Amino acid sequence: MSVAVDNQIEHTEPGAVLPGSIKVLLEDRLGEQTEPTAFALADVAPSGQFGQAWVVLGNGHLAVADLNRADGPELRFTPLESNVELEILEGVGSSRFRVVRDGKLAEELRFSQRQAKRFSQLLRRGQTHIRGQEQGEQPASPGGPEQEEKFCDKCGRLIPDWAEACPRCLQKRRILWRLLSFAWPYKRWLIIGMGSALAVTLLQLVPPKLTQFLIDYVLQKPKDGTPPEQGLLWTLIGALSGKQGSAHRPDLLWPLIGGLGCIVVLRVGFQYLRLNRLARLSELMTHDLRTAAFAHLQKLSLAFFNKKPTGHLISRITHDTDRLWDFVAFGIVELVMSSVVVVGIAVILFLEEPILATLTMIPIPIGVVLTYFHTVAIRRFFHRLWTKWSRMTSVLSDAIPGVRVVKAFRQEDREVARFTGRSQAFVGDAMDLHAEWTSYWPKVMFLLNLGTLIIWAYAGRKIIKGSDHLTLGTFVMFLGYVWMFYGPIEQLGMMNRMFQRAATSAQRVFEVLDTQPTIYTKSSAVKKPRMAGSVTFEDVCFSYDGVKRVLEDVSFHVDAGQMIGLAGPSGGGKTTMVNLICRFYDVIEGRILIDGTDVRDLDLYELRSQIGVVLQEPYLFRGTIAENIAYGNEQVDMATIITASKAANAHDFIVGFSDGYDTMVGERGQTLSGGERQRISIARAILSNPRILILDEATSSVDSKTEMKIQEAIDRLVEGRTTFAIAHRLSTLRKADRLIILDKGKIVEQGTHEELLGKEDGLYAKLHTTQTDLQSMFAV
Amino acid sequence: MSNKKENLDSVECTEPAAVRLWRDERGQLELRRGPDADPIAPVRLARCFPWSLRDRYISIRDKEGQELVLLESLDGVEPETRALIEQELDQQEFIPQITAVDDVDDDYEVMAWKVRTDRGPIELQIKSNDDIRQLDDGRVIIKDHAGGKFEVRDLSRLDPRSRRLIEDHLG
Repeated sequence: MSVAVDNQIEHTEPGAVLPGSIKVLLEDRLGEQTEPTAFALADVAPSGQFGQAWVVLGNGHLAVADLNRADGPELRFTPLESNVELEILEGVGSSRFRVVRDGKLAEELRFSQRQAKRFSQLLRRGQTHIRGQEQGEQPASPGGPEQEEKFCDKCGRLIPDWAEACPRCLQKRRILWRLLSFAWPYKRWLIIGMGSALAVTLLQLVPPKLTQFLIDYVLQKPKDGTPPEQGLLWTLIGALSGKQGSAHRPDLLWPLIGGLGCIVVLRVGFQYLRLNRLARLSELMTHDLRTAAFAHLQKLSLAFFNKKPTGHLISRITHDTDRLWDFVAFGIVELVMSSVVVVGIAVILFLEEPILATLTMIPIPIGVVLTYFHTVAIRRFFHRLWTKWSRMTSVLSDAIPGVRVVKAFRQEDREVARFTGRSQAFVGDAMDLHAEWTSYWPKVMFLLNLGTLIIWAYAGRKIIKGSDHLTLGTFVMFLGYVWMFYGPIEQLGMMNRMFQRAATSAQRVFEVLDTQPTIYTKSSAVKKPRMAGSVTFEDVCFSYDGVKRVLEDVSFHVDAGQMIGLAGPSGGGKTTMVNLICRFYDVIEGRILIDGTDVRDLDLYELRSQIGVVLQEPYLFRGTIAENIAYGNEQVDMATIITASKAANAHDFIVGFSDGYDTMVGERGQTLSGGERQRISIARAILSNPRILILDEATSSVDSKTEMKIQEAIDRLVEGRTTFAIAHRLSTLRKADRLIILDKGKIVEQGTHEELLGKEDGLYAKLHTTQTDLQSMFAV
Repeated sequence: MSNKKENLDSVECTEPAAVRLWRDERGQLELRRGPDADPIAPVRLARCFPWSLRDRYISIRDKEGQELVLLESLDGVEPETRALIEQELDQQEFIPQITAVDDVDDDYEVMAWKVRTDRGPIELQIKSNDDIRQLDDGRVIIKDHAGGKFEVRDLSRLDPRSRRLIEDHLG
């Protein structure tokens, strides 16, 4: 298996890629082509400073390229033969990799936490090679892909767990285009909405222009018959109305008023259209996004869910899609409108009076920049405040629920002091925030007022002196336009941040859509409609995170219908074994067979439909008891539900509720006791009639009468099915056809209850004695 | 019965002078608890209070994690053994002290921090602000994407810019 070798190591994560120069060094010395099977960077020098020493596995050797030495790089080789042992000594923040040859320490290299996974992999591969040498055979192929952290090829940044592509190098444009594709089915509304927005904006620009005309040509009497100079537009209008040449048009008053009235009405109409269509389009679009995301989410494997906290996933489907709604319905449009306003006004003003226009526009870029820095500062402050607020309220969530402890240990004063201190810290930062935002608005207002002042100064003087083309009407028009700049300045200043946030939200939603399920059914899958239920594990190795081995070389065979008890100290690997049977994860080495076929070759849904699960903490959905029992088998009739329920000894207590099987359970419903939930869970399993049953026994104690009932229910459930029970109850352990004892990921003992008790130094025997001592009160 | 409180005041610690520790050929640590005791190997060391009381209560444990020796303090330990204990504790720990923060790129979820530490400069990739925490005594602990820890013992001794960058990102 070849690994990436690259000559550019500028941007990548140290240790992720073997530098070409090192490979060359090795080849020079070894005199042959080296194909490294594993490598890792020991990035802590013996002095304790960051350093570089590359460890490379290849061609049956372990090579160390030590770049820490003052006198130049040194190469050391250890042939990987049976007299060599490899080990890793874990520490805090760093660990040590050791090579022991013939019982003597040959190499010791330190590496930081970042390199842990690669060293772990190197260790495994090295050990496999050594073992292969011992046994004189080829080591088995490593199996599934190692869980590697991903780093971006372009910028070297870590790619977060939830992402497939680097968010930094991601092209925002592509994301936004993709977003547009979700809007495309509603393109009629999109066009109407956008068009209306544009119309609103353009119409908005007209009134000041009309004011100019009103003042100059309608209201004002010309002095001494000298007509004020007419702009291009008005010359045209004059020409059209056939009254060319005359400067004073009092007759146009009412038409003008009518015109303005029309504009107002039209604006209102278009405004409504814009808001209405875009808001509705946005709603539908985000609905499509949400449902697509959730649907795809359901297809993904357990590993995906384990990596991301539930809260994150939920927020992706709700919060992020909500933000996108906001962006589409308002964000983009307002941005476009703002730009059009600024450009439109600029054009009009420049055509009229270039000098005055320039002067008037000066405050604008200043305003945009001001807004930009303001948003940056606000973001910073909000984050700091949020942290301080969390710290403050955490005192409350400690002291109030824990009031009994506070009082018992007489800590009231201390808690008050804590809270006060944190509140003060919060106030300190809040003052900074207030200083920032209270000064922002005045600054912006000042800029706009500055605009007015400039116009008054420049235009006022000119008009008094008697200008030809700077008329009173023009003056008023300029004043009118200045105040229209306000909104756009704000919008344009916030533009960058808004795009970024929308792109991030969009990406988060698309990531869910783009993640490929890792556990899936192969196209060549075999269908086994009715399994017998025999299970075989062959040399199975597994790890959740790629570093810590949770199962190692686990092998056993179970015939159909047998009941196996899994026991052993906690953390031994029992739950993991069961996860693998259900194929929630795939093995890293070895294989799992059901009825002689590798589980990876079976149809996934079929496999799962024939495996039943009773969990330690039974999960009841929000719904009726009947719905919970029938979950997964909605087509069944009530009689079947009752039969299953009776077999689980649940029928009686269910009917005892006033709503019987229609009792609502789950979050807001009836609270059930542990024993009741267990039995409903068992009823559910009985109803689904699986061939293979996984039973994770609850450790919570119940009274002996209930205990007997649950025991009976389990007996009925287990009959005739291949059962894997993670057993705690003595009765279960005694009844099992065989017990498999797991400790630290390995099978240490196998046998019946009696056989294992008979073993003198047996682990099971030891555990059993302790347990029976504690349980001596229950006659089970 | 009445002497229960006195028992709590002194936890049973091994007599330091009798303890001997050395490295064997394999590089492992071997321990002899007393002059007549059998050597035990391999053993590992651990600080009981790595953050609040570093140099007191050092535990020497066997490979199963069971404590063999608890040293209340390193005073009174035979010099060679003491040197070895200090060296080993130093070797097994790697928590660089941040001396300055040169740059923070936090435009995207995973932040890139260019920092200088007492072990040399390094670029950290930090998953979120949750990984930058301030303890009650004012120390700041930064955890990088792989779980490695970096510490700022005293914020007030950093230059103002570094300090501000860290405070802005406290999770």
